Amino acid sequence: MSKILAIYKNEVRLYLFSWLGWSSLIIINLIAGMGYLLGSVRFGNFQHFFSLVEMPFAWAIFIAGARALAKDKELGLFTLFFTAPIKLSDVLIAKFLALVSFFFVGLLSLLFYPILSSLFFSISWMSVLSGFVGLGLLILVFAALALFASSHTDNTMISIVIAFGMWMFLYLLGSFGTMVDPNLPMASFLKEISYSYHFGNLSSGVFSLADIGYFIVVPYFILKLTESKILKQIAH
Amino acid sequence: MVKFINVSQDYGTFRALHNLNFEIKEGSLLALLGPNGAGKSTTMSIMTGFRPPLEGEVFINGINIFEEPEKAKSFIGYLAEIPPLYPELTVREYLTFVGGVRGLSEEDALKRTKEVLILLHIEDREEALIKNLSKGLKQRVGIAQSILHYPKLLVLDEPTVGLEPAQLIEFRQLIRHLAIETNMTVVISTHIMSEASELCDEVIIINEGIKIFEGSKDTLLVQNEKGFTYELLVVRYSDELINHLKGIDKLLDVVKKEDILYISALEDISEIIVEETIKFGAGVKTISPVVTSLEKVFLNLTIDKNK
Repeated sequence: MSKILAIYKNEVRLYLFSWLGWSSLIIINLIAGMGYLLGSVRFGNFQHFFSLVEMPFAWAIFIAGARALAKDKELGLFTLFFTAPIKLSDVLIAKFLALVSFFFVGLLSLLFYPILSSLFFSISWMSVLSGFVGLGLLILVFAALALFASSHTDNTMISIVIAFGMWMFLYLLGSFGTMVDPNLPMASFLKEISYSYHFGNLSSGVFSLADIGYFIVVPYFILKLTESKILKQIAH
Repeated sequence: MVKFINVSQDYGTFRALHNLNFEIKEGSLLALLGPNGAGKSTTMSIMTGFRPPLEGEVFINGINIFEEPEKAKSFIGYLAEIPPLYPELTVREYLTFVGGVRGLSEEDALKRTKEVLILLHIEDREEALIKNLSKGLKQRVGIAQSILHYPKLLVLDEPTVGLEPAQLIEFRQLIRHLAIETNMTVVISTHIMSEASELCDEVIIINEGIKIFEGSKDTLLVQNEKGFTYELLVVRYSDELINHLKGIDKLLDVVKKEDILYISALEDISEIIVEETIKFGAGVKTISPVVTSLEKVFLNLTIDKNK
């Protein structure tokens, strides 16, 4: 546990030093602020507001998280991790949690908007809470995707492109699911594997085990894929 | 300390290591020699548990590194050709982080960082950003991270590549000093013979993934020396002296170059050479054995195998 903590702390420190990390958080807040001013919060309901910031969050996580493994590979840090008495899964967990923590700070910074709104009119705190939970869980999926993309290369730019490509695929898959005849079994399958469907449910205040389970199983599965990808790279 | 049993490794269809067997004793200073592409780095990466072999077993301090990796790796300190450093951290931040990864508590990591920095004479760089350090200093920080946790085995992969001559001398002194001070087993992979010759007592030579020699440096030199060669500096020299010396039993040849006679013999007959030279009326100024260099032996061995 102490080894995971050492890597976690170091990763958080690296994000705090990274201008890319801070730029990402600033951009998220700028977009959120613009959306807020343009009326994404209607009648005290924040559902549209959270849907609006979903995409900037994805991109920001891919950009900031690209360094997590790619930069380590470039700097030869893998030789340190793989010759130290620590499991690869522990390294990945630490890096994943650090990326998630950094963007949870970004998420918390969005609290400014509901607090500001509540000063002038009545807001639905339930929609705020569900939006935060939904976005928080979505950060887990995006962070896992960022690590997976980062494991493919030692170039952070390529990592960003890979992550963006995977996100695009998942995003389009979700959109395609809404276009297919809902009576077809494929429609239900596409819906279930689409993160936007589950995020939509959560941010609209519909909490179900299936939705929460999705956001736990999918990051776990992606992290497992990342682990096996790295092990394969090392063996060859 | 290290035991390789029938270790083989493939990269696709290319066999990088063939049934490698060797043992490294505790406290040795060993050079893993071989030309570029011989399989040194593959051997190192298997030894440190970085990469599993295709076949065979590797034991570190009696523990199979691929069955109990965490336990075995706790004995190892490793410095790769490119030191694994975070440029944006200070030396202290980086070393305490590595200490944590190696399982030291925060307090111990900090205490040990200070000790190691003093040992490596870089205590004044504790708060310096790694990106601002020279190559030589970065190399020292690399060594610092590899010895932070008191490893029993220190593995250095081509550690002097890119260092300036002054840094090279300093680095070699440092490794010698470390090995003596801490009684660590040190394994250095290199293709620079002078480095191996100056630093190490034991040698393993690999060529095309096959071990071609394992033993002490002295044994390697003696085994590959074809008899004895002497340099004889004489005064009152004449051509008859050469013919006279050639008549000595067990003497193979005498060659004259300027004022020096190079004499090769099957056995150590230096005393007889001196006696006969004086008896002949010439004066002996000096006689000294010609030492075969490790470089020469290495070239002979690897070139012979490549033929």
